[in-house]
Order: sequence, then structure tokens, then C-alpha cells
Amino acid sequence: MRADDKDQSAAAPAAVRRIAEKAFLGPEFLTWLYFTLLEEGMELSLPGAFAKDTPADEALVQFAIGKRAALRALDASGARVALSGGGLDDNGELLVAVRRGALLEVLALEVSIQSRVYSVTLRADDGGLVGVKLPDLFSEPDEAVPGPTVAPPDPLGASRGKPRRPKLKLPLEDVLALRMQCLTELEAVLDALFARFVTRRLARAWHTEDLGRMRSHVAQGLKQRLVPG
Amino acid sequence: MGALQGSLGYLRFLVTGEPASNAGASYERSISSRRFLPLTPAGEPLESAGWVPLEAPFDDERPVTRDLFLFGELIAVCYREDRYAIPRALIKREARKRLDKIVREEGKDPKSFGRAFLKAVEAAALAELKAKTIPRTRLCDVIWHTTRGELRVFGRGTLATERVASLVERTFQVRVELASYPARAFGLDLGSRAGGVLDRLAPGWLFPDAARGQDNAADEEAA
Repeated sequence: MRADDKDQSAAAPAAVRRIAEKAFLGPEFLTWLYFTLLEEGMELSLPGAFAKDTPADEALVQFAIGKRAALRALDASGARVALSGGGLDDNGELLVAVRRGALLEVLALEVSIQSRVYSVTLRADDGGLVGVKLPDLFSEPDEAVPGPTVAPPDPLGASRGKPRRPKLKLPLEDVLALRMQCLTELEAVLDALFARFVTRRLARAWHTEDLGRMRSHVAQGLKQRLVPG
Repeated sequence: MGALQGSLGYLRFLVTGEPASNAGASYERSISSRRFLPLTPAGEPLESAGWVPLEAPFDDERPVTRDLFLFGELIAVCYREDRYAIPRALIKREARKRLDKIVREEGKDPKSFGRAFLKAVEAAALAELKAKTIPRTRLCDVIWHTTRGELRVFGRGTLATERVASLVERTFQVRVELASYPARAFGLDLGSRAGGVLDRLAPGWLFPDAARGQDNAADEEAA
């Protein structure tokens, strides 16, 4: 070995290295979240995301898989699969990609928190949130009361194209406070999910239960597509 | 993308450090000294960056007073970055045109032009091009939730992670760290055993055989 073969570059600070070495937690979290939501019927109780005295039924959060997902292979090839459109909760391409060793790096979700509906796309690499759509905060309340025969609308269902209501004019301070309050609410749910993932990931049950469930989901999903009827 | 309207896209940062006890006066001084200064065609800089009021990012005359950035426990400012993007080749061509005109009209020998003269002609050509061009502006809203110790930066890429983060640290005298998933994992109250496991944690393969090219083995097993 030549003398100048020795790497003389300064080592990154320990805290930076510690974070960089665990970059896989983001993709693993999104992949776990995708399969957990499917297995739990798109509804999770997340008491940790709410104040302590919140009733149990109000701590139930409903989810739907959104219209965007991207996966990247863990191996050196870094092959990427980007999927968009409906039906990502039952998508063969996604299962094949996971089966071949890819993990989700982008996942769009619809989240209904106590009837307030949010759209959000989660990014695994930097923990960022993009395309966040907040519930309608600034419209005048709808005064029309639905009759007893009208079924309540599904908060995560498709828009029925109802006419737009007039927007409230609020001062900047109130607009900012309301929007940030909504983001705080959404982040509390996402943080509670992430805390649940980390707890599972560090437990022995990760290998015996969580991995097994995800493998079985992928295997069954692929089998249904391979075997006709 | 901004904090005040439309859909939102942002990065979360963890803030280490307490807000100043006299946040209004102290941050007003600090923000004012780092206020965005607009570019002028005659000026030398090709780019400028700094803070502007959240609600009026293009109102260059307006001072960033505390009523424009301090909203209870929220501190809200906007980072503005203007940049002239004029291709070097275009500047050279304009300078060449000017030199040709001088040779033609004043009958001067091009070999007599000194380096300083050529530089001055190029600077004049650049100033003229800058006067014809509107600088490219990028805005990035920054909301610091002082009681939660979290910062939301409504932008992406190095603009958010380096330039804005660095200006936040200098302005507010705090440390900010991107709240990526690993950073958040280390911030969880996990207990010493789980913390030790997290330190040693390595990426887990959902299908280890996929790496070895045995795609069907686990499927057959599960079936």
C-alpha cells in the first residue's frame, strides 16, 4: 500500500455518523406503515397523539393510501419504482418491488383525524412532508342540516363536487395559527405512528411477528395475482 | 408551498436552545441586521439573501418589526434569495459588441486595450444586462414553534437544509438539526436497553433471499 493510499480525510462528527448510519429507518418506517395500515383495516387507535383525556373513539384515526408511492431497492443498484394513481392499496407492482428487496421511500396518505381530513405525502429520506392539504378551515359553516335519511358522508370518500362556500377573511395571525395548529395535529399522529414503529422495530417481536406478517401479506398478494380464480 | 396558502411542503427541524427572554427587541435587531437587501443593476453582487416579512416579501422598504414576525409562541419570517442568472457567454458577447463599436467609432487599436479597460467594458455590459433582467427570486417561509422546539421550513433541498438553516442559527442563536427519521428515533424516550439496541441496529431485509436471487423460495414457503 502506498503512503498516500491512506484515507486522511477528517472523520464526520460522531452525531452525524450516528444519524447517517440509521438512514434506513425512514424507508423501513414507510414500508411497515403501508402493511400495518392494510392489515389493521386502515384504522388505528393512537392515544399517544392526543391529549390524555381524549375519549377512545376520538383517538381512532382513519387512513387511506393516497395516489403516489415510490420504492427504492436497498441494494447497490438503487433501482426505483414510482407508482401513481388509485388502487395503491392493492397494487401488484408494489408487492413485486417489495419482494425484490425495495422499500417505500415516498408514500401518499389520506388521514382523517376526528373528521378532519388531511392529504399528505411522506418522504423517507429527509422526513419531509409534501403536498399537505389541510381540512377546509376558512369556509363559512354550512347551515343546511342533512335530513335523517341522508347517509353521513365518508370523510375519506371521493369528493361529491359540492358548491364552494364563501371563504372567511381572517387576519394573518389567525390564518397562521390555524394552519400551524392543523400541522401540529397531523404531525402528532405521524409521530405517534413512528414511535410505535420504533418500539416494534427494536423489540424481539419484530422478527417473529412484524416481518412475518409483512412477508405473508406480500406472498399472498402475489399468489392471488399468479393463480387465476 | 408557502405557510400561508395552498398545499404545504416542508421540512421539520429540531431546535436546540431557548428563545431569547426579550424575543421582540432582540430578534427585531437580529432580523433587521440580516434583512434582505434588493439587488441593483449598478451594484456588484449577483445575488442577495436575507429575511423579509412573511406577509409582504416583496415590500423592500418595509422594516421587519416585531408585529410582523412575532405571533405568540410562533416566530414567522420569510427567507428571500434573489439571484441574477446571466450566462457568462452572453456577457462576453455584449462586451465584444461594445469593444467593436469603440474600435469602429473611435478608430482605436484593439491591441491598445488594457486589462482594466476590458474589465470595465465587461462590467458596463453586465450592468446593462442586469437592468434588462429581473432577478430570480426564491422564497422560503420559516415558522419556529418556540414552545415545541420545532422549526418548519417551507422549502426543500440545500436552500432549506443549508442556507436557511444556517441563517436561522445565526439570527436566533440556536442550533437546528433536520428532523429526519433517524434523528427523531434518537429523540424518543426509549429506555437504556432499547436505546442500546437502536445504536446497534442494522438495516433489515424483508426478503433476505431477494439479494441472493432466490425470488420464489419464501413465496413457496408461505404458500
